[in-house]
Amino acid sequence: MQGADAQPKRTQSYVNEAYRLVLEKPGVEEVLIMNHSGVPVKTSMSRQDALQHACLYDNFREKTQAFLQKLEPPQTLTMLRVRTKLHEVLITPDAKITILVVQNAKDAYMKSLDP
Amino acid sequence: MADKRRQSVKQRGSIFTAVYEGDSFVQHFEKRGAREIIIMDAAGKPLRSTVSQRRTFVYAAQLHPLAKMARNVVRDLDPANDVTFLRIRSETHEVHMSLNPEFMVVVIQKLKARKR
Repeated sequence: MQGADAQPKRTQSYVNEAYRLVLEKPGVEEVLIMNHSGVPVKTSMSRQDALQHACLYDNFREKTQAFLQKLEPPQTLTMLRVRTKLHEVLITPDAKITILVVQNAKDAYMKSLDP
Repeated sequence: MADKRRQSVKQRGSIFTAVYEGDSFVQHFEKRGAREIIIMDAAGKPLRSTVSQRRTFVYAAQLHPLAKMARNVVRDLDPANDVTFLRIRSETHEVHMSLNPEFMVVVIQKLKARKR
């Protein structure tokens, strides 16, 4: 997890700042920040969970990016949002880092499905 | 609106039968600036669409595996969980996918360019 030794100092403080800013938002449950190769750098979850999330969602993000590249004109992914029954996962890829946020998005969708 | 949809599903010959003008379902999305709407069944077969047939097949062929993959990812992390919605945002477009046990609704929206 502390493979941050290899990163330049500028990025490290950037990561900490981004992490702090995200945690302050309401509804956020967990934050995970990965470097450009998909390795978790800073996270609020346990290490096992973090690795699992990072691996699976990074894989999915690559597939989505491949889909966007096939469109006309080829486009880059700016944000990916997966909403599930229990929570919502946001993935924001960037040039240097990828931020993965698990948040509890309150909406009335599931309630409207119940009779 | 619901009657119109039921009518067109009965005709199995071609996929895109009914004309879309005056369809309040489509107009509801058009108000938000979304022109392209694709409705697929749970197997990924397109049922209704406002885009050309070729593009619809391209989209359906790409998006259905993506939705399946999202579902696998979510299930791997938590077996009790399931995907309801998928939002893919790029520089110029945003793709919304609403997943149901029975069908999938895909809405593609063009984003207005914002001056930073």
